[in-house]
Amino acid sequence: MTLWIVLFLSILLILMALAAVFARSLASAVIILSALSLFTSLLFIMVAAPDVAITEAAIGSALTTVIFVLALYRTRTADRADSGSPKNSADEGALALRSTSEADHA
Amino acid sequence: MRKLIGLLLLGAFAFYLVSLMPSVFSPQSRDHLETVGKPIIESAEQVSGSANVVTAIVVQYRGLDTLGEVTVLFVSALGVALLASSLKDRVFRSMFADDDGGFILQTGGRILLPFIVLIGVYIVAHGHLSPGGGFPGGVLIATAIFILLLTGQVSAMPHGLLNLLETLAGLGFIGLGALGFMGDNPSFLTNVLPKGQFMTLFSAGFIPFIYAMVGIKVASELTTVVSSLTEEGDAGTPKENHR
Repeated sequence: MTLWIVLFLSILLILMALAAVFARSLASAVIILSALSLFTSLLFIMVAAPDVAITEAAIGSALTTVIFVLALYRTRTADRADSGSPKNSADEGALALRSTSEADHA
Repeated sequence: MRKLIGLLLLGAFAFYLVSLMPSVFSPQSRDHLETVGKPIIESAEQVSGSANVVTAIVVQYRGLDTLGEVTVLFVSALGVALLASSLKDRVFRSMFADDDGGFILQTGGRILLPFIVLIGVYIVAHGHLSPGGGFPGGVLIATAIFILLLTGQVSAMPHGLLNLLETLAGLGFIGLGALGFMGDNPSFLTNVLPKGQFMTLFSAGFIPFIYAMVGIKVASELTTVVSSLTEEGDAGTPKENHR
């Protein structure tokens, strides 16, 4: 039983890694990598490595995602500010992030 | 063509991993996988007094490696802070000021925050008893502080305090390691403190203290990374806010 769960998780992880590589946008690749980390920590629990599982869940799935999203967002707006075409890059960047995150409550 | 070769290599690696899986799980082939594990597992309780063998390896057997890891993390935090301080946009200030994240993030963050910090401190303090330790606990605390930034309850981090904490934790790590010179077998990062009762909170000699130092250092460094990415740099001349 355990073997089949581990096999299923491994194949799922490979598929997710492929999806992250071939994803259209960098933002969705980051989110797929975050989900991959979560399932990797599940796999670590299945192979009786709870220490690694806790570390993977905390670092891989929470903090790395946060840092990737922040860095992605900062570099994109920095590029836009360097090219100088939009007048208020901050507003436009905020609009772009809001439209991707679907957190439209305004 | 390059994609095809990459896919072939990936497929071969995946086949290798899948073919490795049964040997990890079947108990009869496990014996030849372990060569150095068994002596360490047998001697860990006596040598370190730690109930968690992984922690014993990380802090006692391979303490110098842990010091190196903390140094790597410090250097990367330094690099991020250096790079982010030259960015002159004021993106997140206007965004976090105008956008409080909504009702669910506000309420959920406010209720979850103390529990996340509590679990982080628990994981750091019980590193020698249960799974976990300084690194994941520190990361959890840093994530909790990021919730503070997300909900807009805090706009700027006290960088002086963070730097002070990080410095003191690093010095504490090295100081605890230097205590090893006072023992009968003087060398860096050996335990001279009493081991105490096995499986209690104050046991395993210097392991909980070193993990507390690692936890404080990791939490303050990662908070510095996240906050230097969300704040605008000091070097930037303040641009006009267009709202």
